Amino acid sequence: MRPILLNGHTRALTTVKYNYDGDLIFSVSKDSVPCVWYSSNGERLGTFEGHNGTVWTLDISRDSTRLLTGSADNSMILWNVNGGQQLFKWETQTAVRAVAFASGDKLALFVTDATMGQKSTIHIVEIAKDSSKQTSKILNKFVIKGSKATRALWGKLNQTIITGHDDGTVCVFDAKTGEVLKSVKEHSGPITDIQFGTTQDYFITSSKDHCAIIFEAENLSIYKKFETERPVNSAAISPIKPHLILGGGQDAMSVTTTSAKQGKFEVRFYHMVFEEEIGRVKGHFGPINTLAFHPSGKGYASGGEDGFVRVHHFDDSYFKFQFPEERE
Amino acid sequence: MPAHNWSDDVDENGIKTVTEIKTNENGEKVKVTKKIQLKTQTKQVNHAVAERRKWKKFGACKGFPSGPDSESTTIGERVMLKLSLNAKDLEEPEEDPTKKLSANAKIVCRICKGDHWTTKCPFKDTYQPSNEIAAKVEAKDVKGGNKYVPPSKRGGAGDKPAGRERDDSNSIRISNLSEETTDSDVRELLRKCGPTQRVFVAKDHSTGLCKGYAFITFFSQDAAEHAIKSLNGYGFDNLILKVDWAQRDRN
Repeated sequence: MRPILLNGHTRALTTVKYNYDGDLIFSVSKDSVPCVWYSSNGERLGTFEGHNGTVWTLDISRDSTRLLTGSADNSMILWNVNGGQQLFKWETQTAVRAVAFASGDKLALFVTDATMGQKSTIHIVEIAKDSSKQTSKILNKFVIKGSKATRALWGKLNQTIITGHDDGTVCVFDAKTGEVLKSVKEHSGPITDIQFGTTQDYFITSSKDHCAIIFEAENLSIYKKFETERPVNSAAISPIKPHLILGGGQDAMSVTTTSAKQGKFEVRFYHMVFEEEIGRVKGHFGPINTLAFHPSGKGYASGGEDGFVRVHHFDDSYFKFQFPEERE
Repeated sequence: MPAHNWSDDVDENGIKTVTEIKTNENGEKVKVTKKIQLKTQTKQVNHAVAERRKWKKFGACKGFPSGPDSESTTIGERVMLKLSLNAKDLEEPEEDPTKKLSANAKIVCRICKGDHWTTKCPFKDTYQPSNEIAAKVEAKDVKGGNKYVPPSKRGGAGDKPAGRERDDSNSIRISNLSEETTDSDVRELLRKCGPTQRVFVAKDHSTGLCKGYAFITFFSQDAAEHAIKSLNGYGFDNLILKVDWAQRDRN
């Protein structure tokens, strides 16, 4: 396969995401300008200008009309995807580390960083249907005790909030009361990514401790654990095959002192059930920071420290591959 | 410019060649030839997706024509994703190139012919490598006249340009390969014959398919000979391979 290289960012990528239909790719990086691309041919549709610092995270509404971005310039911005206009800006005390639309797109959450004497906090806000009536009112605020949250997602039916923390803890919060329902510490390093599988019943976490774990979403019991020999920065589950992809590499600060081959900057494919590595794809010059599967499972996108997004469309041979045990 | 440019036509491989003449930033006229592989794919999409396809570009891309902009979107090199049950075996063992060298060839200092690197020679500061001196002297001789001297008769005559020097005595040539043959196929084929220095499969520039022949350099002549003996006439991918030395004038 020949990947499409998207070269619209001048600094390291932080998050890459497909929209629900899979025709658009949204990318944010440390260069403060989020971009949107057509996933089929890599054509850039537009850029969103308004942030003034590293953009850490993004989320897209189900109908792909709104975009939320959280940035280190202490703000979260709601954008109109068609046209790139800024619809609303929430000013925060510290950097925004995670944002997420709730199912139904009526609520959204954002998590602020624990710096400057502030504690890491989950904020829940209402997203008005008519964006001219949008207010900055915070519906709920849950201060996180202990290590700061690096990732956050809405759980099933917006009943819970799943968070990943800097010390490797994964927590489930009650979305109404802010009570910690369950908390497990299976990782020994910071959680770098959390992504749901085909349903919201299970999710995969990746961590700097060289592991990726598939958790059951309610009780946080471990389904599968995948061990590699370098930090994992992102993990994604294929929507159509029992495959998952892991991306990472050694720390960005030591990239220049080691060769690309030693850095292990490949995207690695694992079989979800057999917990075995089945393939790898080379390409990035630096660690991979973020991965996303196309919602149809026909391809994936990876964003690296090298500032490139690589969009891959799988060859036919990928779909034909089966373990002997999978054949009937 | 004629209204219809014959070079814009699509050839039988679906490759379109577009030629345009532009003025670059230095005010020079440049001809840009682009080869584009055309592949038509029809896809059913839902209404919302089709609508989004019509959106106007905004932000930094405002006013850009539709279609990917070559500044921000490029096609990467072909990458392989070969799924297999034991992916770890596919991994080529990482070897330290200096170690490999010391195992196969003896290190000879260019200054004193001792068994150490030239840079580590104790006489480094007092002497110069012998062949470098010779080359310099020759260069001086030629410089004198203003007459044109063909490259073959200049100083260091007969030397191939740097970087192209290659010892082809251990090289073999495999021909009658099928179009689908890849580097790794050839490596796999030769695994039993011995360690290879270089595997080169000739590929078509635009389609990336094998042109039907490959050159392989082995570390040892024995291995090359063994490969010729065992693979000449070997059936591979429904074709019968022809294997011979790469150099025709070889005895």
